[in-house]
Amino acid sequence: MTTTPPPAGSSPQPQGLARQILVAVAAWAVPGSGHLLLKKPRRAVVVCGVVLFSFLFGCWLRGHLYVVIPEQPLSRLATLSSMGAGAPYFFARYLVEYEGDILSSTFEYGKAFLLTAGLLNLLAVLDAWDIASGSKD
Amino acid sequence: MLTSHFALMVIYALQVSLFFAVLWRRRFRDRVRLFLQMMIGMIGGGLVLAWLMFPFPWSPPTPLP
Repeated sequence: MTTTPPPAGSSPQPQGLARQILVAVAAWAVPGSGHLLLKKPRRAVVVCGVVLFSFLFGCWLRGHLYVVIPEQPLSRLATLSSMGAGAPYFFARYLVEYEGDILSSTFEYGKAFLLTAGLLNLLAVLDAWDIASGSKD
Repeated sequence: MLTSHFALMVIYALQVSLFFAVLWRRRFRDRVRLFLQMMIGMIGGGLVLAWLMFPFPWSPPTPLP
């Protein structure tokens, strides 16, 4: 699937590498903040809203928040995906000590929402990087 | 707790469609079109897949002990 070309008359402005890295790190750490730094408030609101909703909804469903299990190599990928949500992951994991409830009937659904929150935020990071590098408006 | 498979699928499709429509399209009209395409694709695809899997398993389910 391709993105819509920018409207005539507006050309994306590339920014310095340090600024691009700052935007990417901010976009990962706090969902939506990367687009906010790039003065894209509507996209920032949607990214923040969708990622936080997905994460909180997954927690409400008592879904599993992944951690690395050495005997299970795929758990590393799942943990990376979950960590993509940024601050919410670390807040839930280390401050609230949330793990999920395997006895909950919605355990698997919640897990899907938690993984989706992380993956969508990683896509938002790439989008913010593209905008900061000038390859997208 | 929300345990309806269909409701959870609709919520999931809503959030994912909204996300991609806003990130991948710039004009409002294009966003609405992509949003609807993705919503219909995910919900309709899920229902079609469920319908196709309806006859399985062939044998009657084993009773719970």
